Amino acid sequence: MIAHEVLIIGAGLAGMRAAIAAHDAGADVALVSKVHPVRSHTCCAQGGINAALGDDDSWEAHLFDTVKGSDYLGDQDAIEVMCKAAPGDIRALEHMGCPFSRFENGRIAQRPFGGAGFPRTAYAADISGFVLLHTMYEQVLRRGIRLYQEWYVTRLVLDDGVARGVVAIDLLTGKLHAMAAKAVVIATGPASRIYQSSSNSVDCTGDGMGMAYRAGLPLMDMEFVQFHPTGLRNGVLITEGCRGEGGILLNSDGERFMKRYAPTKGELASRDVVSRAEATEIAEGRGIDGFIMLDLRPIGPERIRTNLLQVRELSMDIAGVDPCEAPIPIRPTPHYFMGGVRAGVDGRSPVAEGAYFAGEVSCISVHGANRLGGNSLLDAVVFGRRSGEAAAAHAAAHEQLPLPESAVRDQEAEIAELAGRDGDGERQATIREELQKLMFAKVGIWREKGALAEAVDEVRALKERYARVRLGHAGAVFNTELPQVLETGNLLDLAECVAMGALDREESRGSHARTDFPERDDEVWMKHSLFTRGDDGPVCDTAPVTITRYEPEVRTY
Amino acid sequence: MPAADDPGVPPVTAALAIRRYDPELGDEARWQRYEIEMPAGSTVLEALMYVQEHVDGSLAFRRSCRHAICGSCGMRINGCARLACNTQLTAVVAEAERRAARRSAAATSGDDDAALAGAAVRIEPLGNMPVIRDLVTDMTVFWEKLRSVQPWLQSLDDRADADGERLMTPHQYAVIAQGLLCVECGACYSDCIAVEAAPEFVGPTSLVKAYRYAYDVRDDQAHRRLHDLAGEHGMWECTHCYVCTQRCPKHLRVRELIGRLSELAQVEGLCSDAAVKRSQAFVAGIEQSGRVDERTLAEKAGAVRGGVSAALPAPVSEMLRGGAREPISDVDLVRRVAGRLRGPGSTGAEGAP
Repeated sequence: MIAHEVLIIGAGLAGMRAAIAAHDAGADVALVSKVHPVRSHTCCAQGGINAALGDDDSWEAHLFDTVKGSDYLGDQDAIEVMCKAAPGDIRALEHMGCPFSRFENGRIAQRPFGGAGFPRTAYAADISGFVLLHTMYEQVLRRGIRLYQEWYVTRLVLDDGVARGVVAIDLLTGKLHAMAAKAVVIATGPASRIYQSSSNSVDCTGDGMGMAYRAGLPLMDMEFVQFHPTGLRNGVLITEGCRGEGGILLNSDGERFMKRYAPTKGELASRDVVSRAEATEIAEGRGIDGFIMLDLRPIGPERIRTNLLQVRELSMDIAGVDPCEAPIPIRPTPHYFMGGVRAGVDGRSPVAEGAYFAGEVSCISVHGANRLGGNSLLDAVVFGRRSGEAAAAHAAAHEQLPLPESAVRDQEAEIAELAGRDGDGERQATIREELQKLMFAKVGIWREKGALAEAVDEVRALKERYARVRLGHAGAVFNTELPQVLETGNLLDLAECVAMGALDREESRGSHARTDFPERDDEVWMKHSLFTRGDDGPVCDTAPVTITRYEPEVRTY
Repeated sequence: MPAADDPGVPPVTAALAIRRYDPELGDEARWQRYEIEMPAGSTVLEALMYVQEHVDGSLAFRRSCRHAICGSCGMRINGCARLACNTQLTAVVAEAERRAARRSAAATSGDDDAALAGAAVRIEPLGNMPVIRDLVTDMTVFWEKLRSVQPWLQSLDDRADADGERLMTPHQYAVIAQGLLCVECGACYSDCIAVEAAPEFVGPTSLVKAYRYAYDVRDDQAHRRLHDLAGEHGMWECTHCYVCTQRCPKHLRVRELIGRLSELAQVEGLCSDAAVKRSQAFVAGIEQSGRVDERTLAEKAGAVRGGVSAALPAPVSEMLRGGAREPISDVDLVRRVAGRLRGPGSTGAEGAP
């Protein structure tokens, strides 16, 4: 049996940052990822990473902006941890070799971002996540950290409430492996593939959320899904950095409509506000073929070519528009999960000893009901590091125990049953596509009781069909069909939580906008929602929000 | 056909000829043909995903981000290594149609294989690496070579606990930014003639990574990095064919970056015998024929050891079969220019007419 002190599942920014921290703390660490590390979704992050580096800025100001951005649902103790750590963590990345764009004085450059009171977003042109991901991978190489790449983890194994390790398929051979560990850090990213036109990589299928949920761990705040204001027609993202650099949003009348929705911040209001404004403009007939125009020409061609090079190429390749010459057609696109597996400020699960969560898979609740741009990479870096350190400390204090033998046997039996099903059932793709369409249509930017109730029923009907799904390829060597089938199982479970959470929460807060309950309701709903797996779908509960400094106020930009 | 974004625009019809291989079936690689219809604007990757999800679940390929930043979907399309996700289906269908038209004009029957008949878009795994299954290649050696250039910042002055960041001007950032956007997809490596001829050659991707660190002002190990790469299988084995630059889906000027690395090596006095011979061969070739002669370059640079062998991989042996290249028509002018350049001062400025 494979055994390591600390197993990290997922090799994106949070996972690799955790691996580096745990290794540096003296633990024997291994990374397990279904893709090669540099293929991870972190590479898609364009705009940057927030930290109060400037002399006039402060972590308190960063904290306030984040709390307000979260529509007061973020836990302020956790946000404080993140904002305080940010400058030191970013300097550590710089010392590891991460290339950042620079000011003339040689210091790390920062640009304005939505919902922030200060130009606080450090960046590398429009490839910030990409350079961070590559820097982490190179640091992993430097340390010789063991890497199981293209291994798909199917389950988190708990024994008596204690994490013992995972079961994984080596995709190269198709073999199942038990992987024992004293501590498991799960950093597998989001589940945004429950939606059509998502900005996310095809691989963002909620594997870690799904395996935690099946193991009985609670998910939190799943109804909060961020729609990014500037997606291209196929969901591919155009960074908020475009607006930070001076790009403007125009409707079909050529009007800078954001002035009406956010008189002070305009285009740089927080993402939920801008996305809803765009959706309203489009719905009221002021879109152009269902799109809003993002005009980068005020930035000037020279700065576009240096700081927004990738944006220019994507715009030309996908929209057929050179942003130096014409506006880019964009629309809101499903982008980020504020919710995830409930975890504390060291990534620790409150219910499963030895299980840690970091990055988008987790809900440490630093983003609350709406995340600010530039805070996701920061979340991954800070809580990746902290969970790696905590996992190493946990490993140092505990004995290595073997995985229960049944773990692999059970998984083998499940896969054998799947492979042995009748040959004329439907395949996973039709189910996944239907799920994505219905979530986009009924659990999207605007939500309403009737449609949400339908969505819950429809997801459950899809789950029934999924129980009879047929495997489209039975071979062992690099079978890409098998993980896709398992991923779709995760997506269905998680979509059910999203839809149910959205139905239950009868208020509008952050990204969750109910047309039938348009106001925020702090009396009843100033609380987190929890989802634990029951026999007939999720069992819903709530948990209190931690407020330390800033009492809820009316939120305007 | 998947649903179209804009139903008003006619769909693209395409015949894909995909190179299939499954070690579990124990057979040789074969071509398989899929006739598909996709919405206008579809990429090759979208077509492959449609085939895998709705037509043939056994088709294997890698993919993730869909917009040319993760580097997963490198493959050869119509003979050239590219990313499937930023290659438009209409563009490669047009290529295939032009190829079919040329074949029919030349009255050749083309290929025997029925899967390749007509204007089929050919999709194959990347070259210069073993195939695991279908379009999935074993990139182990590729990653090992990348690791061999020690792609991490090295500095004796690493003040990791310092209060501030290390300074770097916007210009210094811009210098390394030219090499930052390499997504490590393997397209340049796949089609690199020098790797094909000498599989130990470190390859263009690793040299781009080496450039990024050698030119990083925060790194103080440039000399050692260059020393390591000035030896056997290092930078001097590049044949200057520029295929890497042509193939790069991120438009990196790969060969130019390798050249910048070589310049720095020369400044550091790390010009090896092979490098000197290569430069001499380059000049001699120009003077003789007015052309860059890849054949002599590869030989002189030591990339092709043991003389010209019939066992060389196809593109290299094809190139060598051409024998000595015909001089260009006004080769005398080239020779006169070369003579001037060799003249007093030996800089173009003084000797030029």
